[in-house]
Amino acid sequence: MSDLAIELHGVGKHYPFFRLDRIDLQVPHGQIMGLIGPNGAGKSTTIRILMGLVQQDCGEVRVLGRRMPAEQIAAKWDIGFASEDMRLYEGMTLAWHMNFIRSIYPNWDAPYAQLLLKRFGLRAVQTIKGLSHGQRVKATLLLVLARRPRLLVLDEPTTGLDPVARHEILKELTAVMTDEGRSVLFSSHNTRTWNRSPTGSRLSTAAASSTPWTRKPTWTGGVACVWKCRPEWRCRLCPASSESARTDGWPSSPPTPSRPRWPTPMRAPARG
Amino acid sequence: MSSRVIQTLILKDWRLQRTQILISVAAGGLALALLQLKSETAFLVGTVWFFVSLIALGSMLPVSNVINERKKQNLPFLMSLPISALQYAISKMASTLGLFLLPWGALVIAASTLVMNRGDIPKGIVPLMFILFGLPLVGFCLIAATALVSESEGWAIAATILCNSW
Repeated sequence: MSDLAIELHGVGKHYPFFRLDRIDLQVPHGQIMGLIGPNGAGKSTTIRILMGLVQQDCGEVRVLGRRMPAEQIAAKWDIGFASEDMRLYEGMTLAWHMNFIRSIYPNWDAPYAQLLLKRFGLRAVQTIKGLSHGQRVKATLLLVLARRPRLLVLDEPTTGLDPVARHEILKELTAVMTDEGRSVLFSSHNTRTWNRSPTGSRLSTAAASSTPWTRKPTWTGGVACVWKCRPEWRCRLCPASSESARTDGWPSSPPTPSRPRWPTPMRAPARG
Repeated sequence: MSSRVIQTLILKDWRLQRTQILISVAAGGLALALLQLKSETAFLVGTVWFFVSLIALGSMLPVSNVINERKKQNLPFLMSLPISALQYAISKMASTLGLFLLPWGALVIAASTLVMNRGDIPKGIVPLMFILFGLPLVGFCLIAATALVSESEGWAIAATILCNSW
């Protein structure tokens, strides 16, 4: 069995106004990988490809040793997927959804589900229609976490949440992340939120660009920058940086010589 | 394992649509009850009401069971489950067909029984009954096929208008 939870080799997907071009990505078991980038960078497309929801035009995708999308059914038994555009059935209660998932997944952990209900402050008898946006996100995560998946795939899980709700969710996800038997892949455009996650050396991030990728990015569980930065500029994600830089946001385009946009530029060490 | 998931999805659709089915069956049953009254007006109202119930069920069911799942963004939730797109389509076809055929069949059998139990059955009534009961079925099949293939509310509405203009 492969040591990698996620493997993408030469994956590409072409849309009329967007393309993913020859993506290589490897996430070992027990690793946490963050896909970070601005809107339109290709994070959700990449996640949908590895979930088997979208078929790639080229390349090979393996998740938990299974080829995707051919073996997606077998893979999805061990994957918990939550995305920002996922909605539950509004007219049904959270208890109905819990019973629905429990009837499918044999690994459903009922005591843990009750614990999450309490932690997230949700009521099982309440219909989804009556929940706020943050509560719906928590409900979706409850349904994902309580089935104890080996791989957690989260597409923008905290988007649109108020700080309190975001904190509650991150606290619970941190508990999942500390379980070294599980792998996590998440996407976000908010680097600050995930930098606070106390996962130590297991957290790695990969940057995505909103421009068509003109060179082959390599995401090997470490860090990589797909923007052609100037040599004297180093970002926090660059393996050559010797100090950490605090980034307050994500620039919408690569820095230009006349108008640098990285908030805290760093100088490369002098040669010689 | 996969067949169990498909069964769960079909049962899920039944649970979600059962109110609509019950209302249609109740409306059709009430229409048949009106036909028993010894009144020409009640007969006309009951006849129209009966066919409206069947046509309404056949028109609304594909939209509520197929189109709305995509429109209300429930599809990502379902596709995160251990099923493929093909299995989802199979479960959706099976549930949509079952959700229509059962109430349609029940109402058609009830109406046929009522007609056959009359003492004086007009000649030609049986083929006419087959045609009249078959039209909502054909309309439903067309609308459901359009909804399943196009997943578009606009095309489903166009198919509904086309069927109802016959």
